[in-house]
Amino acid sequence: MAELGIGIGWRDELDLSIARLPGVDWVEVVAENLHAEHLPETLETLRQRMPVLPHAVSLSLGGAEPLDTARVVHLAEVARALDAPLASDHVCFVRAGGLDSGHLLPVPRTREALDVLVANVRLTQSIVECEFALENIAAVLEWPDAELTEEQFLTELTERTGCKLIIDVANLYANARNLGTDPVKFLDGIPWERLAYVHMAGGVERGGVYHDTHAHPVVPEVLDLLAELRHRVEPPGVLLERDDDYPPDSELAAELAALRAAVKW
Amino acid sequence: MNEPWGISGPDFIKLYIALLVAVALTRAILTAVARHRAKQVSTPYAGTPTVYQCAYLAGGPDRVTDTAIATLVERGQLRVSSRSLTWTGPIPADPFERAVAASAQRGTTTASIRSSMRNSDLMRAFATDLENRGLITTAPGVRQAKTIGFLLQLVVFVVGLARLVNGAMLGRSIGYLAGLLVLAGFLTVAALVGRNKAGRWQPTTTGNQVLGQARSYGAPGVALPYGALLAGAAGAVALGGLAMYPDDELSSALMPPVTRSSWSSGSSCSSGSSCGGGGGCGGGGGCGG
Repeated sequence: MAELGIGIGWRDELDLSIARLPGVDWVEVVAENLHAEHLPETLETLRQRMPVLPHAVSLSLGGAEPLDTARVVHLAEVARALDAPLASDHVCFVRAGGLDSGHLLPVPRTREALDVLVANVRLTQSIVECEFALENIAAVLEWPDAELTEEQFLTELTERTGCKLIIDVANLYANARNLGTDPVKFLDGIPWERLAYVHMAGGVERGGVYHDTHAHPVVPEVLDLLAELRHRVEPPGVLLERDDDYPPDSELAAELAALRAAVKW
Repeated sequence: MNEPWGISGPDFIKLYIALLVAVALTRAILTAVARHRAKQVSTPYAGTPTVYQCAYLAGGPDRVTDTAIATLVERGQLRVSSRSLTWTGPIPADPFERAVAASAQRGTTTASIRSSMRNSDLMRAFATDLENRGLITTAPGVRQAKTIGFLLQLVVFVVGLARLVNGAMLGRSIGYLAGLLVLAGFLTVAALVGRNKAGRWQPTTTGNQVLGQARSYGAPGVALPYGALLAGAAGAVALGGLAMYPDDELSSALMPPVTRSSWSSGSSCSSGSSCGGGGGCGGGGGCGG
């Protein structure tokens, strides 16, 4: 996959702004928000100018239930419509027992859970016609009796499936703050040759808990972690996710410039 | 004398056509006289109008709202997307801009903001102030004239309907009358719609003069009394509507679906033409994705 550069999450609210923002090289779009046959006109226009990569949130690849292949087929159709070289989802599950969590829930880091995830990823890869990547999440809890660290879990996942990784630095920071994980150790253990790109997002601390809101500016500590990541690898792309409380274009442009500076581009 | 009402069918048709024409003429004359009188209700205006006063004169309450929207968009305080307008902060000082910002806190549309602003206390107070300054009038005489016109039209329709029913009961030919009755019905509905729209604010002669001066801004050899005031996107939209926002893509996104404008702008300064215008993520206590 070619180098991506600095990108931003495409959202309905930003559809006219993105083309006007300086320093946007590519966009990522939530696959579930699109119909492959009826892509928004503004996205079609943008697609002529820059890569547009679909990112799914509902495949529930870490779930114990049979994979809902209709969702995977939808992702494949969207990726094809966008002519995307890569599609992605998260290392998580979002459904169980007929209930939807509404959140990305962490997978137990056990060999058994990894086997399930690997099988689902392989099935997904057989349906999606482009490269497939998985993203680390900000976990609300950690399951007990973990057999692997998160970086070991992700490394083995990539080795067994050949999938790529999206490293969300803000999620890494949230886990460090809320669960006490060591982000530097995480960065030291990641197979960087499998890196697809990096996610960055803002958040806020409330009541001693860091909330990965995607509705606040990127905090300096997350930018520092991006710089720490840059010491290990030059990422193919860095993407800013902003999902709510959109600031003026000038502030978004400043955030994108800060990401560019952090990776020394 | 076996003819219904003592009038033969062909004679009634002629009479009915004459009635329709007479009522249409009467309505036009009544309205024109009332409008002419309304425009005389004005006093000389001294001072420089604000961009929002010019907007009201050019397009009524909706144009004021559009002007506030344009101002915020130009300043980067309102984000325009294909589907919505979203306030991005900070809170504006101007009351119209503040009201628009409040409406757009969670994303909205031009049509929705217009709707919430149209009958707001803020807009009503603004209209009252313009009236006190002699720039607009409610022209109650126009509504009265249109009410009379509607009633006349209704009487003609009812007479035709009665004749139609009577003729049908007697087994007479009613084809021509039925056609005329359709026309009379259409004219009656049109008169009612016109009557319901009448009586709203419209510019006085002074108001139209002020608007004319504002519109001459930028014309060769014309003094620029309100130059700085009407510069930029706000001035363009105030005088010409959202279609004049100086960015075609944003202009298209800002314009609501075309509807008929209720504002009757003055004809003396050609303002009538532009009045219409018409993640699911999760995790980490936040998004997590």
